[in-house]
Amino acid sequence: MFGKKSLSTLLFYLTRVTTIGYGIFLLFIVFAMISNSFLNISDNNFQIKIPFTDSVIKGAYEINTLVSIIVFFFFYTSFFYALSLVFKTFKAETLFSKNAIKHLTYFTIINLFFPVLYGSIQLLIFQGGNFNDLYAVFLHIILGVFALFIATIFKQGVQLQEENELTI
Amino acid sequence: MPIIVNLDVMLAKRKMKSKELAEKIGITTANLSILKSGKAKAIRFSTLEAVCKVLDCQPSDILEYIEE
Repeated sequence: MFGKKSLSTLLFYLTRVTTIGYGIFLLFIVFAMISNSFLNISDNNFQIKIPFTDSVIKGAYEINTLVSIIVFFFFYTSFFYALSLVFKTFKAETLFSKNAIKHLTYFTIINLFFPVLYGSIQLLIFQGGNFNDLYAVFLHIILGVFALFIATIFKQGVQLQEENELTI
Repeated sequence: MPIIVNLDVMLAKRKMKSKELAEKIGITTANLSILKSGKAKAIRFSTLEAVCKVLDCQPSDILEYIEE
């Protein structure tokens, strides 16, 4: 589970690759919207053609949809990046470290802050949001709370490790 | 910490160097230095036993309680 040749290492590389994928997609969407390249607008609908594939991203040409898409990709880029940092600390030789606490705290903040912000924007500003959105928000909040517990356990772990190292 | 480690005094009495003691009790000189400087959080009974055996002394010769 932990250490250099472990599941953590595999998951670290998987989440890093996913981060890069989401990051590239986010940059591409922002670029397409700003430069009007790959973008086709007709009948109040937009289509963004994804290069090298036959796929498109489409939706209503409204600020709500555009913000939702950007927030979605920004959130998952941050989410997978924070997750990759957590797995990076899990693959280190010393499991209980201050870095592990720091990265678990980042992961907690991302899971608690962004979904609440996104849910609030959807509900209060755009008066929208559907059940699936709220379901995802709820799941991320649970994940955030769980990560908070793990971060607290790691804090105690670091303390015990320091005491153990100073036991002669 | 109100517990004082008087290892230096005992080493001087026995005319023994830290390195020699560390080798005899099987700990690193770095760990012995932590113990001597009072930075250690705890001492194992096995370490204390080894120190007492090598220095031919009692635990009270090494550890002392001084109220802060």
